[in-house]
Amino acid sequence: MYGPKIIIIVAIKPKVIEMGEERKLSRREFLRVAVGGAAGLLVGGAAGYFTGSTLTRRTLEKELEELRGRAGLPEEKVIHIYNWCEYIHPYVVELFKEEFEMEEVVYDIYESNDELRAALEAGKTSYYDVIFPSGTYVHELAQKGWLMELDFKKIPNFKFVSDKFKNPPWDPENKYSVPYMWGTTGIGWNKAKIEEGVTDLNALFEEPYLTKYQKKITMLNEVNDTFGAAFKYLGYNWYDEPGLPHIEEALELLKQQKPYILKYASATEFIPGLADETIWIALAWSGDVYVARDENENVVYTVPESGCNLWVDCMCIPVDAPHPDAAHAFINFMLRPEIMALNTEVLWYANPELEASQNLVSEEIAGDPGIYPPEEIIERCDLSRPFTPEEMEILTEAWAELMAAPG
Amino acid sequence: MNPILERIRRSNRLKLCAILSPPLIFLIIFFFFPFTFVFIYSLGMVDYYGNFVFRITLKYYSSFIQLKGITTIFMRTIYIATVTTVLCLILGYPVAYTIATKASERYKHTLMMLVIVPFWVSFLLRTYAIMLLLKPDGLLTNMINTVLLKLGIIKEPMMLLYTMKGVLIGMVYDYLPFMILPLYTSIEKLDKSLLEASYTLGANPIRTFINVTLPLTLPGIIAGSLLVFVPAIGEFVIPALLGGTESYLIGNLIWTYFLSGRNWWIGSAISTVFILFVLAVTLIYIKFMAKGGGIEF
Repeated sequence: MYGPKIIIIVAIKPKVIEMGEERKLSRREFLRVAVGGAAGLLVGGAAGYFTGSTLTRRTLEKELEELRGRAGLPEEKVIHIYNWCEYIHPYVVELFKEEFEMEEVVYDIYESNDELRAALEAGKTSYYDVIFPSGTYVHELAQKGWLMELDFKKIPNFKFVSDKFKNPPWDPENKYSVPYMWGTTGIGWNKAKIEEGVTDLNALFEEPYLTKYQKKITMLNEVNDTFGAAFKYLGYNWYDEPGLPHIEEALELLKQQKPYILKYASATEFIPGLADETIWIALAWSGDVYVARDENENVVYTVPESGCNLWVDCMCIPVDAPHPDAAHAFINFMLRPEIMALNTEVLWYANPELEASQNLVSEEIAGDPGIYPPEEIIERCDLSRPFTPEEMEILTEAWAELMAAPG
Repeated sequence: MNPILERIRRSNRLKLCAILSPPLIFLIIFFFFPFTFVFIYSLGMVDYYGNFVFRITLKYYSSFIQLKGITTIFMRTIYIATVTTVLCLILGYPVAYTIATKASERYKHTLMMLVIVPFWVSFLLRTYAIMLLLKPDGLLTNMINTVLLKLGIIKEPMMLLYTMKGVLIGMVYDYLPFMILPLYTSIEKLDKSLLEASYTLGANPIRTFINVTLPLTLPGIIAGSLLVFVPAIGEFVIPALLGGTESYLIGNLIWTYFLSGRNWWIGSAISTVFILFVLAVTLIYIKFMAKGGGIEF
């Protein structure tokens, strides 16, 4: 940088002085200037290089580190992620690995919140860096002291999340979680086999559906969703009434329904079940039904008219995570609108960055009422809230009794 | 020679102790010790955070006894385990007998290897494979339905997956090798001269089988039955994957309490009662069968 300046001063100055005298340029003078110029170039270049570049390199490095810090390239090169099965665009992890120059990305999967909790209980709080619990479980995990408080200086992309999804009931100040995907627990059904069509929860609990489609109906293997559907059908919003006063009624309803259903299915069972038409009506999570629809175009998802469970899956960091910097970087990366849109495209789940990524998400998904239901229906849906330990005990007893009941 | 070793050499009982001590130590560390944890949990001697508390309560036991439908689940579990054991015995004995007596020396080992080969594949994968075969249009379902329809036993094709029948098929498939192996070792040791003696004394093959072969292979039958019955009665994976709503067993109940219910206390109470029950059944079974076969116990 400084080299060229020295050359110019050394080489040009004599020429300028001589020009003033109006002498004709002789061959000797030309040679003198040329050699002087070349020598000056060499000397200047060498000097410039040796003095200038070390200075430059040092400032450049400092700038790089600052940039890296601001851009979120973490020091740690390893990250352990624990997520639901089939809950991310397969390419996103690769993108993250490349951009943030990760050496090792461990990506494990689980099938239910209970599995996640059991793993954390067994000591995985010091193994995984990022976990994806459902909203209500975030509260419980935070209570147990298993979650790390998030450093939002490292998650600037949080600004893209819609206000509707900030400060949820289970984490009022977003201390421990940021939302990832949200959805509803409605009904997935086969439009070719069900001639009456399905619009509401009566398809799960009433005649003629029960007898006509015996053993082709499934409920979910999750306590909250199955009991939630029962409460909703009976007309109660169980999140508003502490102590779950109507649990007996709901349990009776489910026991009556039990002989007609095939089983209490998990996602790995109802997705292929709907796809190969072993199951015709299923209480199911929104995005999963669309995955089944990919394989069988007769599969349709409907949000029940009387409303249903609305849940949000969140991203959290376990309290003893071994690579917290990488974890924050990953969460920030996932909150980018383009990445959110990418995930929504492949998962068919709605994301919480409504304005930002709705513009990036295809019309097909953004306009689908199953994925982004209209306002009136969302009003009737119940956003899950965490249960107290006493309520949890009541629920578990009821669930065990339901499982034990004949059917 | 070392005086201790001398005493061991002379006493059969001490020899037995010395031989049994390595497996005994293993059992104590990896079974008995964890079981005491389960027992302590069931008595309520551990609090919510995992700390030891000195108080004993029986409320968890009474909780689970009062659970509606607990007797149904119990009966269901015993039913499935017993039927599995009987089916394995009926299917496994001919296989073991044929390999042990009729196969030539060359092929005996290969055939027994073939019996063991399924174990090289994970148990869970094998169960998933059976799931695929038992689906409404699966290979196994079609086979079974065609045969039964032709024989006129059923009027229309029946569903196998997510039913009790499917669970039984899966259980027998998974546990059959456990029955064949002990039966094989027992039948192999049969003294052929005893069979000859029986024929010489005028008994036909059937009588020989009932009066000579069966009693002599009783140790194998006992071992095989226990190897199938005890794990089968605690099974929860096969009923969860292959079974429908009526295949909820004790194993599944304990699983629900530990996993969804986060209630390690009631779960432990159920486990303790169940373990003691299976222990009692096993002891009675051995005593009963041993008497019949002239084995001292």
